[in-house]
Amino acid sequence: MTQRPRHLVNESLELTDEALPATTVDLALSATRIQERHGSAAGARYRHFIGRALAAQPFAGRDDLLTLAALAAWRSGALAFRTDALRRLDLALAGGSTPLSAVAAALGLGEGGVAPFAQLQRDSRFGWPGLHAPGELLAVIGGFRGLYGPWLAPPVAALAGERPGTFLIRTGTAASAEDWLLTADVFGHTLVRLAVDETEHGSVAAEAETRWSAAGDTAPGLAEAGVAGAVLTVRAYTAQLWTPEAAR
Amino acid sequence: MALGNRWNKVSESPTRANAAMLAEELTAEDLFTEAPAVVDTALDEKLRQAYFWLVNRAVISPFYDVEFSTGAPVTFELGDAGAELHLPTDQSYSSNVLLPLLTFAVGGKCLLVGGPGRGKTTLAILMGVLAGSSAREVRRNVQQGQPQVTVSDLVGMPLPRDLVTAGSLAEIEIAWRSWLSQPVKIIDEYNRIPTKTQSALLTMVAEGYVESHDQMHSTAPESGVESWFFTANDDAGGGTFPVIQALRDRMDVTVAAQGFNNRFFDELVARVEAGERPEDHLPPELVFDADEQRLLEAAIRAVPLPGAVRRQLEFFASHFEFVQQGGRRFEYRTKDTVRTGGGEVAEVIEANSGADLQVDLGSQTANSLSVRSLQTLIRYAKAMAYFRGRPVVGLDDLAAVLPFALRGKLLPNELHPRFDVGADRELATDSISWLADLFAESRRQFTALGLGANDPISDALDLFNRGLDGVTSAQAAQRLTGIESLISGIAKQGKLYGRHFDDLLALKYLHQRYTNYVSWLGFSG
Repeated sequence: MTQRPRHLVNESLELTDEALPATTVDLALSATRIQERHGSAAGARYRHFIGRALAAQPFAGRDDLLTLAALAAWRSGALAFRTDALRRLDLALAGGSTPLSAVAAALGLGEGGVAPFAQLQRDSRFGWPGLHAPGELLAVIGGFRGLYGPWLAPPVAALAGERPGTFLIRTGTAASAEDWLLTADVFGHTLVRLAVDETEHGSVAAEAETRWSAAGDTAPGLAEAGVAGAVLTVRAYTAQLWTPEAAR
Repeated sequence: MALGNRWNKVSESPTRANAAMLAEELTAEDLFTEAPAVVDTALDEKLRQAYFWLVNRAVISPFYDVEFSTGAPVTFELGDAGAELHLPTDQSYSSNVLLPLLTFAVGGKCLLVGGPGRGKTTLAILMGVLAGSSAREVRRNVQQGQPQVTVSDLVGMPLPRDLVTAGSLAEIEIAWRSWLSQPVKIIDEYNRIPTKTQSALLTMVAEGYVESHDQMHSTAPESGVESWFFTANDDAGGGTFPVIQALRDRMDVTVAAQGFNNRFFDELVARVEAGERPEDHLPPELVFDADEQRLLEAAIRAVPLPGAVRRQLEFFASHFEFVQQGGRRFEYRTKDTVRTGGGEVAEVIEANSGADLQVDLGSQTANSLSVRSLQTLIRYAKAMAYFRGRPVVGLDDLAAVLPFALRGKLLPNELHPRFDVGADRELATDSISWLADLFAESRRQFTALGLGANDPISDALDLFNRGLDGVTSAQAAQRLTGIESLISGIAKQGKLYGRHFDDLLALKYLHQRYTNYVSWLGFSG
């Protein structure tokens, strides 16, 4: 079966193309910004989650709107909003003005799931109710370019990156080898090729090169990111992100 | 979908993923502020959107001849005549759309060549519409080259009233033609314009003004950025009138319009049925207003050219000036000496049995590079890097634009064995492939000579450029010895190539400066 990039939290999601209500902030602009940065699928998810949240709290004030937008943006796969969304989530749970029903809708959870989710996120950026059992598949990443993925050659090895939620992936071998930086959490990921810059004598990014030379660029394709709390494996044309096995 | 709507599709997702863009942390407020505060970031994305609209919607150009790859592209050998098809691994582009678009962005001059009906004029008109003029206005302002066109036809004429009543030339008011101040100027079939009118055109193109009856008129539009598009169905000296060399030299880039790929016939049929022209349907969000044109041009000029890339360009350009038997004194052994003295460069090159013609890249050309060509090359390399969203110019950016910027300027030596006999004869007519190959070979030589890591002449220049404050007479004398030693090293190699010419003259320059400095130290006590 062809593996396509996906995050398992979105697996059973049925998107509704909500009409965005007129509010004191420009929701259409925010949807455009998500779409510009992360593509049309993320844009559609954002419209879905922010639409549902505002259906639960139709007359939200500006601060609540920002909270719901940050949560919906993060939930739609825009990693860059994670820190702001978590801060706002903690404030809401601590008795802020944003109703729990709206927060839950922005995250695609039931009201009872919000607090457990926040607790799971404190432990791991990959935490999600129902996806935290050991050895659970979290996401499929990459893929062959001919089948909608970014890679021309299969991934051969992966390493945990230096920052939480980051991994280095090497695709191809010898002359065709390329290095990629993956940044991920439970909702989304970004995958960026580390540029080969001829002006720097043909070397790949220095940080990546040092790490590969330490690990060997034919490492077994298994990396555990302790801080990130997820394991990345490479197989065939994709990389898969898993929750760690209990014994590991 | 209605036929009319098919034009309005503009890329919604970013046309190039940008690592820095994806890595930063954002807050909810960022969702509600207009995208990037840095204007030039938005403009490069807009430029790419315009490109993709042009190739995918407007001109049907499924050619990706400006190739970019990280690592080796997949390559297929085809047929029995050495044909190769490359599948690039990075975003690649169609030259006949990209180069005109970059010309629009930098405010340059582009010559579009190709047989009739290949979309040359349509592309030029589309550039005019991108600059904010209506399609109708742009079409009306296209100057049609024909054998009867006069200077007055191009620039305008004095008011008849003033011709009768004026007491002096200064009192004559000229009715300037409106096309002169358009941001995009289009001259169709410029090789059909009479020589005298071509000279008037040259003043406009070169100096940015026109003159008639002692009156001057600037051709600069509101933005201050003007681009010129010329079309011709021949680039080999044909046409009703030969193009004057000075005007030909002003063409920053020369691009061939590609033929139509018959696998895309359905789109052609749809257009015939709908009676539509692409220039009437440019999405308004792709139009660059005057401020954007100015910012775009400034942002492109600001893209840095790293020293390592500049050094490769220096090395490439150094091959072409020198010709061993071009003169007696060392400084005069150049192709220009031969040409301006009425000699034949090709014959002089052929007479030189000392150098290996296969290795000597300079022997492949009948002339050298002008400073103007090099400036153009730098400008377009910056534009290429900017268009690709790169923070600095890379060698691949330079390699991509070089053949188009040097076509018609660096001319092949037709007596060179490469063009005369052997496997590369097609390069005599395929100048883009030849120039690309020339640059690739120059890069190989640069690497083989290890100049990236060890370049004593660059080191000597750097040392001098640090200044002579505090340098003692003994130290200066030591440096003079070092320079003589470098010259001696080159002399011992026996064979002399173009790259040595610039090196030796630079060493002579340094020698002079240090000699003068030592004399001055002795004089001052």
